[in-house]
Amino acid sequence: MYSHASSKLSRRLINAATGGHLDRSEQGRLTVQALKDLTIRLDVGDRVGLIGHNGSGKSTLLKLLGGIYQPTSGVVTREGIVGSLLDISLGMSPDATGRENIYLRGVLQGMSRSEITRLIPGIIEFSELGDFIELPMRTYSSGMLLRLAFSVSTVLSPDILLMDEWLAVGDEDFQVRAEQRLHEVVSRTAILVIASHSANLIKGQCNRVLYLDHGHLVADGPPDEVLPMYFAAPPGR
Amino acid sequence: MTFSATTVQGTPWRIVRLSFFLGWQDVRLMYRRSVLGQFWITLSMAVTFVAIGSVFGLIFGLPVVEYLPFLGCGLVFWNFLSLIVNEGAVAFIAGEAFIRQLPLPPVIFFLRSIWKTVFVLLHNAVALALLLVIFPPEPSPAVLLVVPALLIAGGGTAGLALALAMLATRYRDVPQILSAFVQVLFYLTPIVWLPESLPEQARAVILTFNPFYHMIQIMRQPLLGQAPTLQEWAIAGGLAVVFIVIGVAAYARFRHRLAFWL
Repeated sequence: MYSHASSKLSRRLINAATGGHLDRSEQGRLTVQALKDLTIRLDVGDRVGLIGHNGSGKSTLLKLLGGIYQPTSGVVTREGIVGSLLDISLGMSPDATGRENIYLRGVLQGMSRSEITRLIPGIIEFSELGDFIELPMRTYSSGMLLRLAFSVSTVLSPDILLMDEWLAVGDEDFQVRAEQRLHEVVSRTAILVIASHSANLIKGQCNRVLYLDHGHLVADGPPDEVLPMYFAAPPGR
Repeated sequence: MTFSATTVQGTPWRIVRLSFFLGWQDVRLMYRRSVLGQFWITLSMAVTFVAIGSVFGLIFGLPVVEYLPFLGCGLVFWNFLSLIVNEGAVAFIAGEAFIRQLPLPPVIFFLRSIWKTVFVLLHNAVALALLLVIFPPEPSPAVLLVVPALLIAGGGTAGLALALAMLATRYRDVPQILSAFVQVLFYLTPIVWLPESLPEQARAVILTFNPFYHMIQIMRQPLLGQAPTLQEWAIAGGLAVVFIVIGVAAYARFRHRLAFWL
């Protein structure tokens, strides 16, 4: 069942990597416990902001939700298609043309060739690359490259969307359209999970906030309640 | 810079298609800026035939008509198998960025490297076909046996490479050890030299325990107009099964660790 109505995430998780607890196993291997004793359930309509200091486990949680890490103990149950928005130009090759790179990106995003062929005119138009689309990507400016990557990456329409900070790309004119496009993607998705250090972003986008500290879930509630706990608190422990 | 990719909860068919596409792109892009493009693969193999063929043909005092087809088959098939091992073993390491970012089954990036070696083989096959047209071995229907032989040898070696890829991702000294080892095996395997030129007792030791020898035997003989013996099929097939079982078992057992090892 991949319908939006049934999309939910529920999980009980422990462990992985970044700034959690350092340990030595019996064999003397160094291990990092990044998340510990975490039980959460996300339902349709949840717009979740992840907050916490560097190394608190935000990225690990995103990777766990995205299916990149498997929990070393506990379970992650996921219903629906997960789209994670991390590194939008991953997989693009400088020697391939813009058009070829749309295919490269597209298939890595889980789209079929025919789906890409159908969407490609819209992608090219949105990127404003014009005839440059037939040139190798190494001839692009960094702004052009980002516009292309952004245009392909945001055609997806997942049930569950994972993000690490908001995206801002291109010059002013493009930024406006990009912003609008991003809001469209977010509004299509049943569940949004976004890690951020920006209180304003979370206030604007989220209706629920998870506050992580050293791999533990410290607070889980509406932004008005949880945000002050983090942003008012002195940095560190 | 942050954003993108949906989960491909990979059906086997999608995994094969995606890896095929990526492997093909790799080969194309590798030679994108040269005039001959990927046909450099074909050309450099042809040059190798001529160079090694003329020098070693003289050294061994063998007629070109006999020696060149033997050498050509050996070189092309050796190239195929050694690429599978060398490229396959580092496939997960090469796919690190993807495996750590995209919720794709990591095996896609292994298969990508296998497809790449298949494409290289096809380009080399053009050079080999030319060679066999110029110096034709005795015509025989046994030629067709090269197809199952390629599947057995390629599949078996890929199984071995998958197991090595898991090991290499965990222990980063493995790729170095492997490429040194594969280099040595090239000299220990009858590719440039004929198996008959080894003394009887040495042959038993040097050839019996060399899996590459058995794999190359079943691929090379059909093209030279001889059907491999039942025993040769059995050895190569048995090795292939063992390698595939080990490779698949290692992947199934440890695939969830790959993201941590990278």
